[in-house]
Amino acid sequence: MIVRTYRQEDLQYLIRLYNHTLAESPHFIRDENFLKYFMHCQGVNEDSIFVASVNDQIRGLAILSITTEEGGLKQGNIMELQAQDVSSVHVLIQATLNYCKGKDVDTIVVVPPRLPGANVVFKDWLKLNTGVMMAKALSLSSLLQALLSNEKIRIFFVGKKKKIAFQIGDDIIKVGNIDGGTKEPAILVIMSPQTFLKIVFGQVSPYMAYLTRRVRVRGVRNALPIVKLLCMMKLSIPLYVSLADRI
Amino acid sequence: MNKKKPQIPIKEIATRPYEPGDEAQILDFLNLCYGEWGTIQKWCARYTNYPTFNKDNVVLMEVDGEIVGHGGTHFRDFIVRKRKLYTASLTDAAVHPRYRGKGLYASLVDIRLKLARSRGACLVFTWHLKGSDPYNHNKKIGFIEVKQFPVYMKVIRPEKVIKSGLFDLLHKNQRLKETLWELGIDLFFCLGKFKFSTAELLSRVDKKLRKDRGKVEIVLDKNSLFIMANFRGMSKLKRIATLIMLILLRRMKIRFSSFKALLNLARKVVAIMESI
Repeated sequence: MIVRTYRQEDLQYLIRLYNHTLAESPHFIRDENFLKYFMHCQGVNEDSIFVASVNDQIRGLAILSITTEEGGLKQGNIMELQAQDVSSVHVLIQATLNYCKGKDVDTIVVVPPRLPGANVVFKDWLKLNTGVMMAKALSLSSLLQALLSNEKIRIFFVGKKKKIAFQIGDDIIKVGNIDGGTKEPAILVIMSPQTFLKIVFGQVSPYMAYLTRRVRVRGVRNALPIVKLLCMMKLSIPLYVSLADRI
Repeated sequence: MNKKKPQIPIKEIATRPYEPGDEAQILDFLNLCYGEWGTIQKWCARYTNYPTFNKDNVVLMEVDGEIVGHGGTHFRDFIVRKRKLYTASLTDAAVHPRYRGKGLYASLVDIRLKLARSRGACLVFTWHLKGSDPYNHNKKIGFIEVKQFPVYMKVIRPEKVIKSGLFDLLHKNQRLKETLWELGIDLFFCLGKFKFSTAELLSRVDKKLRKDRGKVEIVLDKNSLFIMANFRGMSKLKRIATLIMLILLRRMKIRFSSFKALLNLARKVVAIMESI
């Protein structure tokens, strides 16, 4: 495996790398425009963008920016670190450390990629509790549609003739067999937007929310399938938010 | 007793989007609010160079032509289960110290939420220190905490990291800044051979005035950094408990130059603990 600096022709392969590594994690977009933007951020130089490759196959990327922070602290920010395997993470971190040593940097910060065994690379690093990320839903229907696009949920709906009406705050969103022609009333699920978001982002268990009446379901026999559906809607993996995303 | 904070009459505050040429004034304002926010290049990299930038994305509040409020919005897609969701991120909210506690931050959030809604964003994100005023305000208006991947830090020069952390803490906590300044003693932090004073951090060095003042040294152990690293993200109670623990574990020692200095510090210790 070799580590070299980035070349313009690498861009399309890097987008493929991202599509592969971030396929499961909810994340902010990384298209051509955004990758180019990250590479032109303050403190990023042409020689501080590293690419790990094996036989000309790109396996990882690290974008390093060096900035001077509060109180004159010279900080190396690994704004993006993505890799297909732990050995690529290791060589990229080594390359950034060597680069930072030459630039008289005081500290280096990074959001490691989600890879089994990647923690070994960062065993002598400090884990920081940085600012808390907060979210608020403005339009629930598009969020609900995205969450329901899960394969498991599609299977869940197959064969079920009933509609489900989610009453989240003031919005009513109907899902399920909407065009099925059935005259049966929809199962009504009532909850607040905050409870809905907490379930989606894994802060509250749907079972607990139902038991504490934060989620109300019309008809006791409908409760279990609805709670199961809410469990499937939950994003089980934390959001991948790199330093470049934390603007 | 009416606890509601006094509101500035709306007509006094003009709200407008960013216009080219505002950069220098915005920078002066952000550096005043954040202590050391950065340079014009940093602001331009964050805003005008951003792929989805539009001048409406930066909201400015003015009183008689002086900027008293700033709030940024970044629009981008968020990918969930291979579907794109249009989202907005609220960034760099700042209110002039003179106008704090008057509801300007709430207006800044409200304006940007309306902007996000009008552009079709379905989710809004923001980042705050847990327990801070913006965090509490946003929690009240329906924001929830979201789990994200952790940040890791490799410390090469611990002394510089501690100095920067203290600088940041002081400049974001006006009350603590004032309390430390009114102490009547010179407070020094020592880590190995490295030594710096709070006056240096507050950029208020005036040797003539401070000649007869007592001196207190807080000597930090190198291992204290592992405990201090997350100080900013702690609640007030946890911060106090951490400081006490550091003293008990002898990772932090306090040295006094005179009995007067000890008395001065003892007198103000409650005020420091309250504002920390």
